[in-house]
Amino acid sequence: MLLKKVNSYLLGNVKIIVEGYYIERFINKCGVDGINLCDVEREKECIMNAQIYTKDFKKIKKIAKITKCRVKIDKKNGLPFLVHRYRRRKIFLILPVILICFFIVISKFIWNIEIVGNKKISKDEILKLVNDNGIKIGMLKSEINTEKVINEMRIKRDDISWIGISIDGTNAKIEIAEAREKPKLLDKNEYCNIIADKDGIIDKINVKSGTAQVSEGDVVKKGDILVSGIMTGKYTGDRKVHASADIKAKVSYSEKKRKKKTQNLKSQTGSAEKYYQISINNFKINFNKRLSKFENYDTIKNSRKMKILNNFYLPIELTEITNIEMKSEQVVYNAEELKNNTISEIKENLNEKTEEKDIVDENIITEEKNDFIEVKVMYEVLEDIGVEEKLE
Amino acid sequence: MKMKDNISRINEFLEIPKEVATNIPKVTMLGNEEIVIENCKGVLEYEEFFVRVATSIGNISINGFKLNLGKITEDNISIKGIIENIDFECR
Repeated sequence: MLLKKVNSYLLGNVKIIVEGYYIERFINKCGVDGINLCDVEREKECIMNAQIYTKDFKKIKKIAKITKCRVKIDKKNGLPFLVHRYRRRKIFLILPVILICFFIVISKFIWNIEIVGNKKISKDEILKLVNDNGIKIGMLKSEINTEKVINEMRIKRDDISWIGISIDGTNAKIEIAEAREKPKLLDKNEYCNIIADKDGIIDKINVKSGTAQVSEGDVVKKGDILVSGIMTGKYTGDRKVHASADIKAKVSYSEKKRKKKTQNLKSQTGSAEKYYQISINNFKINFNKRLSKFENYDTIKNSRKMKILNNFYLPIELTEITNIEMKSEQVVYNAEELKNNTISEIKENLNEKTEEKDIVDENIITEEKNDFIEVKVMYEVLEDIGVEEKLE
Repeated sequence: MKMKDNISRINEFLEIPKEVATNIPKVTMLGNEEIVIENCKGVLEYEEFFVRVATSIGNISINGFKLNLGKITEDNISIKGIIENIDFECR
């Protein structure tokens, strides 16, 4: 039943009014000629309503002539009539076609590059590398040869151990696994010296093989040979070995900071204003062209790419610009307070540097002048400073 | 006559439905709302309260109110409305 209704809508149907004295003959003739009459309704003695397909209307006119009836059209339903009505308004038809074409064309390009998995290497660096090697925003997807790009990137960078490029929709997702620095270990069979990689004072030295060049309490500089790989014997003469030793040395780390007693402090006043900007690739449209009403302000730009669904990025970017008003104040610090703050600040920095090694000694020197104070913190740390160096 | 008997006997043997094998009308009714007549020969009379349909076994006349012809094809008529009675005018 539904199929018939759809069919009649697609082909178009006409409601007709038949007027005449021989309506029964009219109905029978229609049946014989294979014309399907629907919803036949007798209104009066000589008037009948019926529904027929559009294509049968010409035949019906002939039958009406034979049976001496008059046929009038009451209503036209269906798709052919709808199309006919809108035939002048071509934009109705053209616009959806253009829209579909537009989306098809747009989906052929890459509009976003997403970088995942980087920890040490910055995003901009990778983005630049990717751009140089053949993936750019606004590029045809079919032009990208991912294998080639991956290989070229791998050759240029040693610190990337794996690169995966997947293109979904208009989004190119670049996954990266960073390589750890490989440890510089020499083979046991090769001959080497041990040299210092930091300045320090030798605290303990325990040579397993090789000749010690320094003794406990010696001050060494970076690059000095601690244990030589050449052994001299009475009978054997000069002989090369793989030097190895446990060496502990006191290394000092220090940091100096000078702080003014009166400082300019910036702080937010709490008022802010927002602008919006749309950028299509490099073409920018500002919605608000006024200059900021604040005298001192910080600007925060927050941009977001427009996208449909998950991966269909459009080349349109919406940028939200927020201006936050700042004010600067002069603050006069108490000398004691400033000192403590500075010391804890420096200590934090130093702790990061020394990475939880044994701290042997800690020395703090403070100096107070008219308008500033100077703080110096020195750490003495016990650590292994020996590094193997290949012997030629 | 003998020929026809033979054909009908074959049809009976093959279990072909009678309305297909012969042109006896098949009248189906749904309550008193709808009546479908298959194998009819045409509409003789049609008023809002009275329909007469010609078939091979004679005319079938239907009385009722607000009778509409739902769908008319060459040998198929469906009549909708409130049906009061059906008469078979056998030859």
